[in-house]
Amino acid sequence: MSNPKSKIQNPKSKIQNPKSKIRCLWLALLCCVGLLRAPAPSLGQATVPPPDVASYTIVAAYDPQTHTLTGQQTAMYHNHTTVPIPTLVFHLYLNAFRSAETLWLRESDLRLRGYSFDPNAPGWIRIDQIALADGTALTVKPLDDDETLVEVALPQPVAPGASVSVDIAFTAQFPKAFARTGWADGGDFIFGGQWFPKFGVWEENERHGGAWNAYPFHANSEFYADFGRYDVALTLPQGWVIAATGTAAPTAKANADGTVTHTFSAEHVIDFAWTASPKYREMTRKVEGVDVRVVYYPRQRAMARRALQATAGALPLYHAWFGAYGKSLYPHLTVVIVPPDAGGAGGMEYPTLFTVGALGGMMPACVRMIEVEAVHELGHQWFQSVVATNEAEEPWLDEGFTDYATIRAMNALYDGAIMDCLGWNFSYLAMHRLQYIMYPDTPMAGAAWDFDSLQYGIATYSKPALALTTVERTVGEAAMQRFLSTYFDRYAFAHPRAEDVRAVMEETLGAEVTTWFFEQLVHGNATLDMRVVTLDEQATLEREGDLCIPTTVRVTRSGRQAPETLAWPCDTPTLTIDGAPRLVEIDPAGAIVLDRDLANNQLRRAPDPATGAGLAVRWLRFWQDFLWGGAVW
Amino acid sequence: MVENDERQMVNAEWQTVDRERRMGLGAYLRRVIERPRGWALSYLLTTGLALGPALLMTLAWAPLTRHPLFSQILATRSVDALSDFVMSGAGNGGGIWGTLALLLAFPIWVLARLIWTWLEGGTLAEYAAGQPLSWRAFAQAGWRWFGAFLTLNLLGAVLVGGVGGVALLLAVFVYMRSPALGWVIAGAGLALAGLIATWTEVARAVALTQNQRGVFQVLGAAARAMVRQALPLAALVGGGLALYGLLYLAHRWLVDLLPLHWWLPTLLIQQAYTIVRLGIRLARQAGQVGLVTAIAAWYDTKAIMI
Repeated sequence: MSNPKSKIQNPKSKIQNPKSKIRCLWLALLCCVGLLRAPAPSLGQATVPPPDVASYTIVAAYDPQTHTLTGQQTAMYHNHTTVPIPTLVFHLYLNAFRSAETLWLRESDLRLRGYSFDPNAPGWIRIDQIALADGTALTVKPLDDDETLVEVALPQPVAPGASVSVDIAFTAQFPKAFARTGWADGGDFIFGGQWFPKFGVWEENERHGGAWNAYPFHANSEFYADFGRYDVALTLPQGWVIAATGTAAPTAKANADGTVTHTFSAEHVIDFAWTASPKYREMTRKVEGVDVRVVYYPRQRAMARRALQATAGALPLYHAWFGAYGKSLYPHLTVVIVPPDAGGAGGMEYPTLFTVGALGGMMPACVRMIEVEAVHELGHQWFQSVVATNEAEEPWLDEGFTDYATIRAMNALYDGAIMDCLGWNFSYLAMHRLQYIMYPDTPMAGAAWDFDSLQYGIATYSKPALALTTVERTVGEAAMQRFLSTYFDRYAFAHPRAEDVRAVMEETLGAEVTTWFFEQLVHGNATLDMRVVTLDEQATLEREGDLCIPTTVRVTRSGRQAPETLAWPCDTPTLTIDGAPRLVEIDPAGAIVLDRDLANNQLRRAPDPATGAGLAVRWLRFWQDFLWGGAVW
Repeated sequence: MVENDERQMVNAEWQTVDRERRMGLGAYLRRVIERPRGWALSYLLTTGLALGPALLMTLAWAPLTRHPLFSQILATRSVDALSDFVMSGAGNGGGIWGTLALLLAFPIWVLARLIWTWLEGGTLAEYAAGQPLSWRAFAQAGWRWFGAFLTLNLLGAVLVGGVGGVALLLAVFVYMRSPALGWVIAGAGLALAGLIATWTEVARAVALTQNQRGVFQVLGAAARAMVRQALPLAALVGGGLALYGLLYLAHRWLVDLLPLHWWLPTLLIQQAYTIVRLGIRLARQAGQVGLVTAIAAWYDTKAIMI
């Protein structure tokens, strides 16, 4: 390209030399063509994640007739702490489903999200043999009655910076799917979640100073694992379509016995899930450089289209708000529409794969269950798969952030509405409010098993989502953006805790917001109800509850005067406004969605005659239809 | 009136009906406008009875209009606002006015149905007659056919409710397994309910034109008439329902454009909608009278006894 300075310095020569003018034009044209041919915008700079901690090489074969899987696993654990590791701890999650007497099933009352355990189709997993890479046999010791957690003593501790590999032969029996994992449709469907012996997380911190962070499997609890590499070869009958975490090898290997072995690899992930069925169909789309694949049963094509549409809409939003999908390290994303009788496997997230339940397909299209589920589970690809918080000890960290993201995405894509039927609309945020106001004083902090099922939903999903929404509306979108992108960027491929989130919040949003968010909502039980108590010649406003969030009050005195906005600090429990206001509105912007009662935030001095007349007209029409009985005939 | 005079009047009207048997359907449809008494009385009856409960409910809810959130519910159909309001302690509307309206709802509804039934007798008789009826003849026609029409109405309601209810339950059950089949069943149930409603409506026209008050006889004759006049009847009923639909959509679109406090334009649009909808229904019934009258060969036509 010519030097623009030379043009400026010698403009006369440019005018006097038409050939140079033509040359400039050609160059400009070439530049435009170059721009048009520029590659699609990238997802951002790929991150260099930390070294793998827990990696697995698994060779397994699944028998759909017996619903059993036999596997050979080489599991490698790297000690990234300064404390030697004397033992290895493995989760054997499937043992939670081996009988109705397990802790999980007793706590859950034999069901999860409305789907029931089938005692005739239990699940379990057994380590048949375990040895070090050099062949030294090891012994498995259960750490709980149900053997969902086992310990293996090592001949030598794993020194800091060193790694240990163990070879495990195991057998797993999948339950009939009711709680995330299992088979359905007479055996023609399988979802493999938490299906192999999985390391706990070795931590060195104030809470676990050199210990395994691993718990027996509780009903409310989800999972916690380290990042690593997975190389998985799964053998299935011929004709079965498989989808899994990570990238599939270009071709599957046909075996002499009529089976087919499919190979997958995934790097920098915390888990590996897979699903297969001979009935699966698929649809694909490239979204911002990510290959999105949806697998579904033939009669669920409409559901699949909707899920794909929602995913394609939300993925760029999350990219813009938080950071690139998988920090640009995950080229694929799989969406699984589970068949109707495997509904228990729906609505769950795994690295680069998530499931959508069948219930949404039974609802009319104006009820956006499919969309909200897809948008929510996609959000977990940021908050859980990449920012891998401890879902057992601090479940609100991934669910709360994800549901906040879901509210935001639903606002952007569907005007917030989870339902929009016959002109009546209901938002996802309002759905959370309905749950939250049942027990608004539930602290967000706590292990999953500290809550009953209702309070778990409030503490983990509704309250954090509403709290983060309140933060956003209080500090503004730009500041919130700074907080979220800093948090995601700093703790990608790491295991942040609440105190880490607090530090980022304080750094980006300041101490005031951080104080009420953490001390009063996360760890405290503060609530708030602001209300207009009386309004005649004087207005009296009250704050009830300890939650201290300052707000404003808009006062309208007469039709001709512009409304006046007053500040209402949170250390002022009662506010009096003189001058015979006509209308008083607390928090007119609707920022504080944690207010227990929004209906008492506004009041008029007198009944509104125009609204009354409008009401009378509508009641007249209603009673005419009712009495006539011929509204439709 | 002296008996001889009455007989002369009856003979004259009989001769008029006989000649008008050869009239087209259009002529009967026009009678809704040419003989507007039934239409006017229907509207006045419906509106008059509705005013009371409407005013009571408005009084009950008037205090709620102090809450802007309440206005938001009415204006935007926001379930968010509705759920906040319902869960709140702010709205303590209702009280005695609301209770009174709810207590009066069923008795007023029963009264309305009974007056409707009476009105239907006079209205259909007026559409069937060669000349417009006197007020006295109109009233007497209503009393003459009251029992038979009431029986037909009740029977129709039971059958429609039964069939519709069963179809709905079945559709919901099947929908869980196969949404497409569920919709098919719902549609079929709806169509069957419509067919039954048409049957009892035609039965009223048959009863009046055949001067027959035996319910089962008229139902049988109505079934035969529906088969004989299937296409024009389908056009009449289908056209009426299509007009209902279009009218409803148009009125909803217009009303939704209007802010809540524009009550007068809303009132005008809604009442115009109600009046036109009533007219469509009466036109359907007038058309049924015309179609039934035209099947002269099937009926042993008798004079309308007044």
